Amino acid sequence: MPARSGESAPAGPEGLKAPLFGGLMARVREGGRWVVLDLGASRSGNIELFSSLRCRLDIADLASALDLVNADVADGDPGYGIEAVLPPARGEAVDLVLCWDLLNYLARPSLQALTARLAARARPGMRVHALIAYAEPKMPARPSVFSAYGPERLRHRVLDERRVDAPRYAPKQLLQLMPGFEVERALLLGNGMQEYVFRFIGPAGGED
Amino acid sequence: MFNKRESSTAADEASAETAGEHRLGAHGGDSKPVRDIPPASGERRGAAVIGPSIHIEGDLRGEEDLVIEGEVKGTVKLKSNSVTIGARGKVAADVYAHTIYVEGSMKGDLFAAERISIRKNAQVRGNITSPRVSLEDGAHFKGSIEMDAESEALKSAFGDTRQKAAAARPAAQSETAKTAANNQPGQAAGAAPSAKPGGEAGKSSGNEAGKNPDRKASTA
Repeated sequence: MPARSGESAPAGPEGLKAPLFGGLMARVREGGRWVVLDLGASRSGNIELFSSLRCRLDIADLASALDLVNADVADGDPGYGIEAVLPPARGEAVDLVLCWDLLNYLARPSLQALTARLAARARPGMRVHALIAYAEPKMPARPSVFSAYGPERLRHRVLDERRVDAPRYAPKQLLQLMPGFEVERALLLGNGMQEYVFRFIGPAGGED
Repeated sequence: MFNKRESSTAADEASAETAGEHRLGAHGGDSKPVRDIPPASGERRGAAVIGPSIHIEGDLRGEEDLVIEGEVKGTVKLKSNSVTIGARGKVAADVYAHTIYVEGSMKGDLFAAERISIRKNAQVRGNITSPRVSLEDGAHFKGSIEMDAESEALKSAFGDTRQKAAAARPAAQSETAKTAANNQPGQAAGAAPSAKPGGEAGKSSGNEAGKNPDRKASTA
C-alpha cells in the first residue's frame, strides 16, 4: 500500500520479525476457539491472519481515543474512558490481547485502568502481546500502526514524524502498573522496540 | 422504488420515504433508473438498487441481490443473496445476507453466511459475523468480528440456510474429489491445500482443552 503523506513506508518487504507473536499464533493455530482483543485500529493483515482460524476478533481502536482516555484521568475517573473504548465482552472471556505501540501513550493512571479492565474480562492464562518503544529516548508523537504480515512478522508505519519523549518503561515499572500480570517473555526487536508477552495470573497474583 | 442496476437510461429521481416492510422479488422493482452508480466488484448484474435519494425505514426482505446507495434504517434480510452498501449508502440496520460488501457507512450488525468484505473507504461501527471477513486498509471498523464458523451466532443467524447449503454440497464435492484424484495421482482425493506457507490446512475442530497453553501444560 502506498504511504500516505506524513507516513513512512513499511519496513522492508519481509516486515519485522516478532518471534513471540509467532509463538502465540502457533498456539492459536493449535485449535479451539479464541477470543482476541486487538487494542489497535482495524488492519487488513490482522483480519486476514485471524480469518482462517476459529476466532472472535474484537477491535477497540484505542489509538483513536487516546485523548478521551487520557483526559479522563484529569476527571478523576480513569476507568470510564477505557470502558467506553473497549467493545462489549458479550459474555466471553478474552484469551489474547494485542497491544502494539500503545502503552507508552497512556498516562500511568490510564494504563492502570486499562489493566484493571483487561483483568476483568480475562480468561485464566490470558496473554497480552505488547510492543513498546524502549531503546530510544524519543518516540513518534502518535502511536505507529503495526499490522500482521504472516504468522510471525509485522509491518510498521509511522503516522507522525514528530518526536516526543518516550517513558521507556522498564519491566518492573510496567508490572507495578499491571497488577495481576507477569512478564512471561521479553525480547528486543530489530527496530529497537521491546516485544513482551504478559501472562494474566489473576487479580491476587495467584496461579490459575 | 428499487431499481435494476442494468437499467441504463437516465431520468430524474423521485425522492421517496417509506416505512414498514419492503419485499424484493424477482420482478419486485419498478423501472426507474439510477444514474451514476459506481460499480462495485461484489454486485451482480441485475441487482436491485436503492438509489441515493431513497430513504427506507423498516424491514427489508427479498430474494435477489441488492445494492444500497440510499439510506436504510431497520433490518435487511436477504439471506440467500448479496447486499452491497455502496459508497453513497448509509445504513443503520442489522443486515443478513449470503455475502455483504460495504463501501459506504454502516452502523449495525452484519451477518453473512459466506463472506463480508469491507472496502477502504467504508465506515463500519457494529459487529460482524461471517466465516470469511476481509477489510482493506483505510476502512474504519470498530467492534467485534465473529469468524468462527462453528459459533452460535452464525448458527442462529443462518441455521436453516447453511444446513440446506451443506446438504447440497456433498454431491458437488464428490465430483470435485473424483476430478482431483484423476488429475493428481498419488495425492489423496479431496485433500485441502495449505492456506498459508508452512501453515496448516483448514480449521481445527473444537479442541478447547488445547487452546489455553496453561491448560495444555497442566495436562501434558
